[in-house]
Amino acid sequence: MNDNLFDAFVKEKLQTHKAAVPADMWERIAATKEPNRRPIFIWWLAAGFLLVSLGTIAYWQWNGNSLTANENATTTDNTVAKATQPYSNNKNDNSTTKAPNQTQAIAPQTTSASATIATASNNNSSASNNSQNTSDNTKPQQNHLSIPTNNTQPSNTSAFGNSAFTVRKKSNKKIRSLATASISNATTTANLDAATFNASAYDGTIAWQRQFNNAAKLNTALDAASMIGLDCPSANGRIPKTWYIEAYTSADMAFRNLRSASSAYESYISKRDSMENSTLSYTTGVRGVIGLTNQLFLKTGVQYSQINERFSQRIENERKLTTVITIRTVVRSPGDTLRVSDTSSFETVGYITRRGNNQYRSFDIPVLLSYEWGNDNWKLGITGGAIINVYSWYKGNMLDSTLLPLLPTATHTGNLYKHNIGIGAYASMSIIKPISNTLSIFAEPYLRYNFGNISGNKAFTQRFHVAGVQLGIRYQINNH
Amino acid sequence: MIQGCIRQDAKYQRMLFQQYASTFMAVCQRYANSADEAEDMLQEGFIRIFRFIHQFKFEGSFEGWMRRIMVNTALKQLQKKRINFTEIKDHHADTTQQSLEPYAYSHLGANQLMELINNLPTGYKTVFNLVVIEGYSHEEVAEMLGIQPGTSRSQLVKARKMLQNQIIALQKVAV
Repeated sequence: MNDNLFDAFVKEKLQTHKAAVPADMWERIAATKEPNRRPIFIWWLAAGFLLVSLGTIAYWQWNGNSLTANENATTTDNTVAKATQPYSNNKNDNSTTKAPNQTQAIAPQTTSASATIATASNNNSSASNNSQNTSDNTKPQQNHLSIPTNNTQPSNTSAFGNSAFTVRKKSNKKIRSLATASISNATTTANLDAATFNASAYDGTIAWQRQFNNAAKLNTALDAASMIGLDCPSANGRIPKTWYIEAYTSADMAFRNLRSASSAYESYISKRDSMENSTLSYTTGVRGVIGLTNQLFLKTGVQYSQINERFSQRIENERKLTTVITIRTVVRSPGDTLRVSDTSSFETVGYITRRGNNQYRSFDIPVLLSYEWGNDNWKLGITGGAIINVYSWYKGNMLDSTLLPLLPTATHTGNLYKHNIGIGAYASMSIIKPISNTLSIFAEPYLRYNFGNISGNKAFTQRFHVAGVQLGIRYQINNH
Repeated sequence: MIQGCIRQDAKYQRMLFQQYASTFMAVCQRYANSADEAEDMLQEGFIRIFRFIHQFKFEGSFEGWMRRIMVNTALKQLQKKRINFTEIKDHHADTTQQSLEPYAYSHLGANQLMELINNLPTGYKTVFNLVVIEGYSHEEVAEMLGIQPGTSRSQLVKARKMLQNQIIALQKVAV
């Protein structure tokens, strides 16, 4: 009975009891709540980035195919229209005056959205064809530019093999202007040469030689265009896309950027700096590569990264106080004995060193653009883009921000670190060595700069920047 | 205010915190072994309340619902340290064969009682808090702590006895 009264008394006194709350408690709670909302923003950002990337690829794909189809439909007509005009034998004066006009008419065309150069060669010519071509040449607007190389029929085969190429609309103004400048120069030279040729009435053999020279100039222009990333359509007219798959592993070194949010945590930062040291880390992944042009590639895939740290903490383990009492008996004379005791003490402090490995792990999606150039033996490349973190987790020993407890964490550290560290920038240079038609090996020194702070509270900010060398293999999936 | 907290509106969350923080701080202090531990419990408890408030079904007392979360959070933190429910030999067991009379403790204030409870071993203190103050049955306590109901009963008896002995000792000092 009395026990029940006692229990009721305690309950009455304590159930509504209130205690003082630390002034900064709300700030601490608010600080730990914020990271929960941030990943949502990160995910939206990542989704947007992927959407834009995919949209760009889709647009590129669609635009490239439509242009190619258009070219196939119009190349023959233009060849009919433009071919053989400068070398017309029965238009001595007119051809001389028309050549500059043609050059003027052609020049603006090079600024249009697309240009197709079709070359043809044949020794046969006919007056009817020439007259028809003359009338066609008076049309000032053409979407496609045809450069004649000889008197020709529409169905003639090309003197340069598959020499038609496409300059992609809106793809790269610089590339386009460079290509059109080369084409324009070649065209102008061809026309001027043709005029001179007509005026001096050379025979067909000399015309052939001159024509061959023009063809060589055009070839040079085509080579230049090819070097700056222009596509050659395949036999069926579609621009072939090159697909690769890359697998790689890298040895990394992480650089930690650890800063306290306020002076109150300076001791915490210095303590952690003295206890944690970076060791060799690694990244491994697989990514798909699509060739946007001959030299521009989009890369994306998935990769796993692990940053390793060695943790070492020296803490006081025991303190031992030893007291030594020495008792001496001094006999000064018979019957006069003096007993002397000396007391001394010393303290022994024992330390224990805790060692462990801290591991910061993450799954990421790289979205990269790469530009590559070189020859069949060696290629060089530069790559840049974003590394989007999908999920991060941690394992190891971490000091709590209160400095007091050492958290022996199994798989994660509670609110100490975030599970999504956001987006990082990626930059690299690569050297690629083809070892067969479809297989290459590559080495890629890189730098990853993380923008996100991985710390889950406001006591400190912590970022990792990683440098490493990727070694990998590249396999070409489609071989055309 | 609850709806605001469900929307994760910081303004309402802060209002909720200001209204209940001192009450729950006292709860945490009864379970914790130190002031720092009590603060950690309170912090973690409020984070859980804000995270799971959408699960509150508006049935029963909202404060009771929050208190349950706070107590569970405190128990979780204590379980990390593995509460020891072994018997502790009480040297003063013989002095209180009969129960304490009400006049012996009626003058005690809440703060004094808190101090006395905090002097109890963790196992005793936890069971005493859960049964006497929170009102859980021994079966519920056994399930929460992963012990036998009999252990809960015996821990409560021992806890009460030790607490009463402390009160008697206080009286002797006062005399």
